[in-house]
Amino acid sequence: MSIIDVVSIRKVFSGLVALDNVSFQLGKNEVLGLIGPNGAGKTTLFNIIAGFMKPTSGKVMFEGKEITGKPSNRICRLGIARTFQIPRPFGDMTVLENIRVAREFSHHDRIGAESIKTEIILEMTGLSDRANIEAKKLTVSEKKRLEVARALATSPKVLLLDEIAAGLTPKEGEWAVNLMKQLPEMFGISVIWVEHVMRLLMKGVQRVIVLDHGVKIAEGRPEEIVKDERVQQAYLGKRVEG
Amino acid sequence: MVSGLLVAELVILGLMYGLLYGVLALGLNIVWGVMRVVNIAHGDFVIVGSYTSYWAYILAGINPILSLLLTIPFGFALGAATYFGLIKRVQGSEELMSLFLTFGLSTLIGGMLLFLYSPTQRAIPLLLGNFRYSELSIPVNILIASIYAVIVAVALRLFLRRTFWGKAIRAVIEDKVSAMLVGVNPSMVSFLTFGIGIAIACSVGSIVMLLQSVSPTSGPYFTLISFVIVVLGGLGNPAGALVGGIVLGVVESVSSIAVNAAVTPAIGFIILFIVLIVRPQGIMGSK
Amino acid sequence: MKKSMMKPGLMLTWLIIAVILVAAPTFVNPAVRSFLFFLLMWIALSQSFNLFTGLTGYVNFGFVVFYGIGGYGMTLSLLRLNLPIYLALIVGGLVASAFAVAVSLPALRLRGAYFAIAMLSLAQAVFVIFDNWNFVNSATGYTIPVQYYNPTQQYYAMLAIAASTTISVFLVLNSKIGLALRAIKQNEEAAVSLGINSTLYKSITLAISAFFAGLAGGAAIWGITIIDPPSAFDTSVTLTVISMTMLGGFGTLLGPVIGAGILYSVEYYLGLTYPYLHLIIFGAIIIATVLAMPQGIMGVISNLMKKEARQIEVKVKE
Repeated sequence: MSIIDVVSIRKVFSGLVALDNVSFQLGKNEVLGLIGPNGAGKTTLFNIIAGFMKPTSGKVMFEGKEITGKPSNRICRLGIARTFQIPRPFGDMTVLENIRVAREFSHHDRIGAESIKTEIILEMTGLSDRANIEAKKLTVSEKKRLEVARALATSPKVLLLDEIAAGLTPKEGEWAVNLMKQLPEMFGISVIWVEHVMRLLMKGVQRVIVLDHGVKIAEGRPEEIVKDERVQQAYLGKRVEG
Repeated sequence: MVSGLLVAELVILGLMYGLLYGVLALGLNIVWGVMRVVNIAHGDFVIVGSYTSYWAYILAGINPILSLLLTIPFGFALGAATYFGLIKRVQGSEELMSLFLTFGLSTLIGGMLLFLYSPTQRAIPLLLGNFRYSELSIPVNILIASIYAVIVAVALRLFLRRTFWGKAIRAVIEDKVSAMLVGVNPSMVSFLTFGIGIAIACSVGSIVMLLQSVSPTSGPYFTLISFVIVVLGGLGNPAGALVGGIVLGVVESVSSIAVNAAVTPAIGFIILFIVLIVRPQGIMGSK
Repeated sequence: MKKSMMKPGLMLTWLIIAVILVAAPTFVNPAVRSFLFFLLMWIALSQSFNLFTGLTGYVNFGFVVFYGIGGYGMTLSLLRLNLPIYLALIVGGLVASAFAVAVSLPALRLRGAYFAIAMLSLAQAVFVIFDNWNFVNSATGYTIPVQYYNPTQQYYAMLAIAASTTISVFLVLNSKIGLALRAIKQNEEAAVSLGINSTLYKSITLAISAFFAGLAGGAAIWGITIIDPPSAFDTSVTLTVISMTMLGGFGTLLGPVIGAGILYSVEYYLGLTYPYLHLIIFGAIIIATVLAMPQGIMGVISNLMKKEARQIEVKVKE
């Protein structure tokens, strides 16, 4: 059974169709990539799944139950966590306090949820020696990792990652790919990963979905997607030889 | 039974008051549109204009309409001074700071007027009769007030559309960064806008002396009316301010049939509260 | 707001203040007692204002409405329901709180300036309604009969209210609610994405703020003995409270106390000779604070302390 079921999601913004009949499933312990040129509707899709927006029509199911239109704080408490493309840390609080906030308020609806220990979260996101630094003093890459750390502290079953690899050094990029292995294997977390840094995404995911202008144009394994003509056209605007 | 004539007169009166308050709100609106500053002292500047006209009348026999020649430039100068002295420093920071600053300014102005002139209501006893058109009877005072309002609205529109600085102001309202990129000096634009806004407020204050009495504590009432109108019409939308003003004026006027006249201000505020909740961007605004 | 507030020196200061205030009525003259009575009222009002605005960053320009409704709630329970005075005070607080909850659910959806304007107009609307509402005796208002007059009891009631307000602010600051509010103030969207129901926490905080403001309002009316719409919903109450909190420093525990102490003393002494001068000074102080000391006196002090701490750190490292 899939853990997330997106069924015919349609989103219209005063005349502009941002998402048109998008459907897909996320399997348990799966890492799913979501790609598409700018303006394809990826962040809108995230916002709808995470409860920041309501779709114009369509449903989102989580573990078989409908969560469409539920407020985002409830969805977090049910077990879906997200990061923001532009990090939103609680600047005046330390890294530890940021994580503490995430931990305190995200478990209300789940009794006895298995928590990931803070030390482990810090270790996984490479913030162990920055734990007592105020978030506003972190570097951009550290802030992105704090986004992930906070999301992990909510003990999610599903993690929606929004462009966590942008601007990372090659070494940090490897960290992102590693994370995609650790999350399902160590913690049973399923992931949807939106990313522009193609080579990293293709290494980290098992399956890819491609959006263009609000429509799902392709779905398959990374190797297949790279060769797909429609995908190439969407990104490059013309056929690529060879 | 309520006569159709009475209703017609009330609607017209409401329209006229609405135009005047709408123009006042316009002043508040462009300041917000250009500078993102919410001027809580707006109504207090109105009272400054009122007192200026009052003393001009008492001491030199100048009638309120003539005193406009005094209050308009004075208001502009006051606005410029306030801008360079105070507003400029909080323009960049969060909205909250300009809210507090202008709140302090409002307190200061009200306090100064109270200190200098005591809480006594002041009025200029200048009734100019009634204008009669077939069966309708409209006091000339309010007619003059609304004519003034229309003149200001038209003048402002011409200024914004036809002159260089007017276009610069519109450019900044629409997109400050782009305006700066094409060479518009935001400081000049802000100073002009604030000066115009306060000039409008002070001049409305002069005209108000034709219609009612004022006291140093009347300022917040005018500020609130302006806010109600601006929010009804949508912050940053100049046409909306006039529309909002007319709507409010007519609603208040007509409702005076049904409810005690003293309560009508509350109606405006209740409408505001409800509108803000149902449609936070106002009737004509966009998010 | 850290546990460092519990340092022994600070605790001693609080203790000394407490002792002085408790013992005061027995050895000061009525004028001083009255001064202290109102000082305590301003402290209570500033603390409750600070609780909501300081923690959420939403400016409640209609704050006086809780004071007034609390006052009327107390008066009506006392005169119409014949409740004992202390119960009437609590009813006043609860009525103000209930009103806050009713109003907050719609109002809190509004951002910054819109919220401020909405609350300001709410206060005006309530004033006009009370002024014309027979149920609350319209513009005439009420007078508290002589039999309830008891300056000593009134003083201790206000002292208890000021103390409990301050203690409650302290408890909220260090509680889960306080944590949620800090997160909301830093970045509301992020807070919500992490499971925080921001509307709920803001409403709770507003309700608590209103409760204490209502209590203080009721106790104030008990002492003043007259209540009518213009005095109960006087906007200058809001602006006085704002000046006091701004001067002392938003979001701090000691700030409102310092601000109230300084400004009420100024108002009291000036009021004796020049009736409206204090308004000019308050206005000037708000302006000066915004331009030069946005964090208030407590902010200046804590910055100085941080500087000292850093200098000590540097010395230690060398």
